[in-house]
Amino acid sequence: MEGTTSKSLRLDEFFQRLGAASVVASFGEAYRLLCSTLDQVEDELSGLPNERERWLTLDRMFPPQSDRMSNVEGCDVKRFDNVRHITYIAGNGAIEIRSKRRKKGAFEVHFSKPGLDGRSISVVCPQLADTNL
Amino acid sequence: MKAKHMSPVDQLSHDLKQQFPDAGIEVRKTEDPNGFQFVNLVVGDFEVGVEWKPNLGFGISSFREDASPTDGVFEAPSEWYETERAAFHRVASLVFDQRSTKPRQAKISEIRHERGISQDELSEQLNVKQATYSKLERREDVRVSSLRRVIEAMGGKLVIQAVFRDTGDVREITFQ
Repeated sequence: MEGTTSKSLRLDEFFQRLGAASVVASFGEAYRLLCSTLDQVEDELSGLPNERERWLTLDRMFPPQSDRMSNVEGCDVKRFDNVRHITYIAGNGAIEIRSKRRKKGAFEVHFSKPGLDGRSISVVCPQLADTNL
Repeated sequence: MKAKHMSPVDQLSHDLKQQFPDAGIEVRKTEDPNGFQFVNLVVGDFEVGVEWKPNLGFGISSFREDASPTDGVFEAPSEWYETERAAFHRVASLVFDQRSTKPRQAKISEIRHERGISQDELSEQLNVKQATYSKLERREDVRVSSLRRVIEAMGGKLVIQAVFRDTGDVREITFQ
């Protein structure tokens, strides 16, 4: 699976590798893990250069940057918005990637990984269990 | 109506709420004043995501009910507009037409099934044997003229694009 692989397969590979990686204990470690894993998958499989300044035109997935980040009120969780999904990263290293819209009463969780203490995003921040804050 | 002292995203949200009072509309802003701001609109099973940033403009992607749940994830928006007015008109037209900003890929047979046309009906319309048409659907390489006839027989129009991923340039190919 090298060279130019479809975006859906690359995304599956990214989720698989992110899930298989060791759990981490902090926001910084989790953010770096997410960035390095996505960059690695895209370097190997997209056939496109890692030129972040061309993110508007390259058909390549790029990790979310600080200009997409906001704090989740009342929780030790930061949120990165993209056009259709949200990436939550907690202070304990937990990561969750989910849809912005609710379908049939629930958000679509694309990926979820607990932090080193075993707590997932919705345990670190119970309000996030049924709403996007 | 242009409201005073609104950010471009607040203005867009305001205008969309007036145009689509029954739509679900959410606005999200990052703490960084130079960061992104977002408007997400849902009408029934149709959704439009908009992101705006100073000096960058409005990025828009829309998704129909049949889109994969992960379409658009970690992708840049499909289209960009400089002004709030242009973004508003584009979002409104997408909602009215329920149209995706990114076309779905499909095989000829999938399009034929979606349109409820049998191979017998299509081959009769094309004046070829059913077996001949069936082979065409299974081929990996099809003549452009044959493909055009098939698409037109199903009520569509064949458009061939050259997409240059390094520059983002998209050109429609014409023959003579």
